[in-house]
Amino acid sequence: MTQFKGGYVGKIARINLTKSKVETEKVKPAFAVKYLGGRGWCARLMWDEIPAHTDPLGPKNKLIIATGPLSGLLVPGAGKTSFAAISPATGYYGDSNTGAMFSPELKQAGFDALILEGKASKPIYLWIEDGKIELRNADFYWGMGCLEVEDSLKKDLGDELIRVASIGQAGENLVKFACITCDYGRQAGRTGMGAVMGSKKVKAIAVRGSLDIPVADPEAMQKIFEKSMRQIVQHPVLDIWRRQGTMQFIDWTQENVCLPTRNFLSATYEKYRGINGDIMEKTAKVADRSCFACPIACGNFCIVNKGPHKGIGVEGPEYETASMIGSNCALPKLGDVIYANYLCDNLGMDTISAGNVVAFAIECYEKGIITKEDLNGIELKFGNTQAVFDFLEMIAKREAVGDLFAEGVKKAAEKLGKGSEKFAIQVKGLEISGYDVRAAQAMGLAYATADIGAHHNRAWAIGYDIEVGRENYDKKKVKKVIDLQHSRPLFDMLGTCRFQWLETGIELDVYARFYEAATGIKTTTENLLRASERVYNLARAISVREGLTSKEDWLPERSFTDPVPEGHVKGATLDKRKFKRMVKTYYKLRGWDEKGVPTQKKLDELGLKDVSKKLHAP
Amino acid sequence: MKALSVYAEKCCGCRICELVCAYQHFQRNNPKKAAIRVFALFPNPASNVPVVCHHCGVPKCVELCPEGALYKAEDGRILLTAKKCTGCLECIEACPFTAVYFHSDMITPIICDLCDGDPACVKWCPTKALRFTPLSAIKQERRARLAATMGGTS
Repeated sequence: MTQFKGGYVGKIARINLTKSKVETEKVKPAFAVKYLGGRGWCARLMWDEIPAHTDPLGPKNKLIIATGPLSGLLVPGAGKTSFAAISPATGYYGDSNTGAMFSPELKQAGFDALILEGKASKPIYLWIEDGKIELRNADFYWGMGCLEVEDSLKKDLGDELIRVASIGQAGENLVKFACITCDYGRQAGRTGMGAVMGSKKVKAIAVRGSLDIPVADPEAMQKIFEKSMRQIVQHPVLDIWRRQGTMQFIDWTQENVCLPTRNFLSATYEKYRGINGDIMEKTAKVADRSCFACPIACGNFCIVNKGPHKGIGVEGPEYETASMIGSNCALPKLGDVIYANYLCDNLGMDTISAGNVVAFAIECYEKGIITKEDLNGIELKFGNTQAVFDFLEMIAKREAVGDLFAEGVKKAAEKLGKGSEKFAIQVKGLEISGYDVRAAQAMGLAYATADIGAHHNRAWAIGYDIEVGRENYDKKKVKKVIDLQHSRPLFDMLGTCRFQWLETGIELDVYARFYEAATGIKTTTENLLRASERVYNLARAISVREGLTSKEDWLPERSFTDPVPEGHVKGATLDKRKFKRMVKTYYKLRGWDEKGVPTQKKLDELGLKDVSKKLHAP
Repeated sequence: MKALSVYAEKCCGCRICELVCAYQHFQRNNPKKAAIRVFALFPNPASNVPVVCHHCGVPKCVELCPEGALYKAEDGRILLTAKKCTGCLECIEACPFTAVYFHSDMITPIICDLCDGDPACVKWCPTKALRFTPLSAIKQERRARLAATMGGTS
């Protein structure tokens, strides 16, 4: 196997929290190249190191933090870090990705990846600098919000430019959708990675690095970068992306009748103009926020401009936040969405799941399934902003019925019963994000089959549904979903953002060239996509080993039974029979058996013989 | 004479300037080896601020360098005679902007040399937060913006 000459730093730190011991391991080139990096490395390490049927919040689960071979390099948008573990939300494979500056700093500190194993006996934080890792007492920081702990660590360590990944009270309290926050407002939001970190009593990871990240061919790197940059800065969509980022999509989903509203009952929101990109730009945005080396700068820093929370600022909202906390909880004003976003960021909760959970609780309350007493007297109704703020805190602190909802909508519905399962909008225990799928079959399939549970980022197929027709369940849609499930997560493996490819037209092939220039290893786009398919199958194998069955490749009942109440797709629901067929076709095209298990042949073909042997052991 | 100027309000905090500076001068992928550094100051004030040498007309760093290693060149740049430098850190003390950088891989300071007249940071700044303009036109855009607000009848 060829040795890499750059891209990767070449070291993984294994941090045993139980024994307070740190070991540094050399990265094996064969492993590095086969699984590329980021979530690819995470998946392989999880398969190898986490025993089957592990309690996600027990000491045997591991939190793996991995950069990619392009993270921190001269590549537009190269700031991605993956956080992965068995997810406490689903019990299956889980990962989440964040942008900003953490991964470049970690690599400059001398590590491609960290493996956090065991469990500390009392709160600690990690201090990582130029090849050294210390476990330090964090009693003082325990109990703080993410934004507060980041602020405090920067002050106490005396450097405004150290990078911090931290958890808030929600992570400490093992809320199943607790997130990890980096750089004052970028999150590894999904699948409850903050709870895993909290279960290990790790409050934060603070990093400062000054080492070179080796690059095989710096000149080639510069040439590819310059060409990509010229293309991006001249691209016509750059202007709107920089001004509004993903917030531009509120108008788009409204227009296309797929903006989740009132716990996914409606697909348009009558007050959408109160929470969209235009109003943000005009009344709330004060600065751009960019991830490492990204010329797009889709991040928005916004400030509440009036009312009791005037002056509170947050990085965000993003489209997903504005839809899940805005329209889905029927908050009428952007200022309230910004404040709710701030609460979630500081308490350390994923805004997507949090918005979904709150909307579900509101519907439970309005239907009489939970009472005002359960809620400590708050009137939790759609559009009642103060109640939403109060309830978010109740969840993070597990107060009153907040304790139940901190488990996520699936587990809450199982406990509550009374038909609430039908409007618990989740797949595999992960709450659905910001797209209504009743007239979007490919997007529905994307949610039903995403490896971490309902997440839009694996295959954002709704654009395709709108392009080719919102009533069709054909094979082309299935194929599209599979293609997207390989191309999009590839970026999480490389450690760079996908928007430069998706939005400003940088070809996939350019990333193969970047990879070659960085590592000195020849590759092709096909090769990279193959690696992504390998990892998709490996992630599936991990979940199957944990007990996943095909029953869970399915959507919430509401998608099939409650018609879209308005707009040009009025009356639409998904057809169970046709959708079932779509799932079957999906298995077939993927080379999975009728139970949704990757076949021996498929795994062998992907170079996962050892995995197939174990998975198919008699 | 041309000078580098910073429009901090336009900076998005991407740090491309740091990266390209390090590539240009050291052929290294290491933003900590740049003569510029971006401070993302959040939440308060909410701003991204690149800190870089102003090539002052009367440079304090030159004045206070005990070895005479720094000098103001005829073209206005502040340059370093590396072999005279002892790495005493006086220049960073002298600089009113602390726009002098050090790294443990080298003794001498990393100070902006305007890339011999075509600064890489300006060239690749995606938001035009960094400019390289004749001194007579420095900050003209901001001046024009302010002037517009002072304009006559509307």
